[in-house]
Amino acid sequence: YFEAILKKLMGVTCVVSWAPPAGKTWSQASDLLRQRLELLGAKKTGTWSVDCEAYQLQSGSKVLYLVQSSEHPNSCYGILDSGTCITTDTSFEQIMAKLGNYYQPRRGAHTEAKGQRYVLGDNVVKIGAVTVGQATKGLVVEVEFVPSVDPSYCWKGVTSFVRRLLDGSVEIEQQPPVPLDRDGLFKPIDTSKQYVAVFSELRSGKTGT
Amino acid sequence: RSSAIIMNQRSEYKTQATVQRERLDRLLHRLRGICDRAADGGTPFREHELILSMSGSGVSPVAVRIRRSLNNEGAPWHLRYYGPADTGVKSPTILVRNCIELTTKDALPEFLQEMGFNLQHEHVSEGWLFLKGPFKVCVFKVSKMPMRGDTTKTEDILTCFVDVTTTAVAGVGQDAVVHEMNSLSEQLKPLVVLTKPDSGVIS
Repeated sequence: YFEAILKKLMGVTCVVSWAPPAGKTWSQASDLLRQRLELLGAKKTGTWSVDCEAYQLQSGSKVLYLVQSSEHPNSCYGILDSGTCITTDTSFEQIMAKLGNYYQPRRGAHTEAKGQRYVLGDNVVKIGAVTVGQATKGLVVEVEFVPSVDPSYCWKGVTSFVRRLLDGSVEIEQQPPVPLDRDGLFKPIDTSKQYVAVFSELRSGKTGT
Repeated sequence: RSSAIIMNQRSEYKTQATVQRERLDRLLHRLRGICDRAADGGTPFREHELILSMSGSGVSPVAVRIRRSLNNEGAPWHLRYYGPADTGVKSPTILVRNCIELTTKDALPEFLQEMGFNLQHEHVSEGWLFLKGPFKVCVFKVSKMPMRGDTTKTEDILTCFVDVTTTAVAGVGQDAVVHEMNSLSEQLKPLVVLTKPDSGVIS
């Protein structure tokens, strides 16, 4: 019952890429994290995925990212490279298909992250491999503190948990990724924006350390 | 996901007419009699509508229509894209077009303009909405907006319109939808004679 409630609520999330420790493959690093979580008492609750398609404006440099997540299967997040974004429904993908003469999917930029989902106390932890085409580009870890949507209240705690889980080997923003011109509360699109940033990082060869 | 996209294809069926002012009250009275739960006189609405298009040299422009209720603070934006007229449906009075709809509570006009869409036209529509089964019947007037984005200062255009629309899964049961829509149109004669809108204009 508690897990069902956690699945429905949406809290503050921190998404980071993680480079495997020296001498370990992506798969071994992922297993290491899963074992660590299970030793802490986390329960596996299923799988998850986040899908990101990048569309390039043909007559300019503008890029629009379309993100869809298994956590919100009826939603679609449109994020421009300027940061302007909207939350809408999955019909947006059909609209982008109609704009094919103006916006085209960037070659080699379709990125997917998928993996295992765990619940540990008030946190939902997702570990997954990031792939671009057939190539694995890295690991992504998302920690969601479910009881709060106010990052000013819990961002330090969430990021501290992430650092402890990943042996301190990650760079995380000091300030939560919520625009100042909004109400300051966390929304699912703020998670999607973090995924876009992490995917860009991994595609360009940075590993988040 | 591509099979889900195909299954979600929808078509809009539309027929419309202008309404002479002297017949407006009788039309509303008749709609109250034949439509569902219309004893309260239909649902009043007031909406801000914008038509935006993206164009480029050598390629066909793509237009979308977005609208939002002005009666409810925080109402979401609705976007609709229309494809070309479906020539497979033979009806002299009903326009059938593939359509894609989406909804958002975020600042859609600003997002679309940043994507590269340009504002072609905006206006305020105000009137009454009736429902009859799957059909929406809107009786409304259109007001111009002399100041861009300012929905508080409008100028009425003297014509009233009536639209009858419905959407259905594309390619399924078209004959039945056309038959039912024609039947509804007959019930509104001779007050209004519904005809096929011009598909070249997003009306």
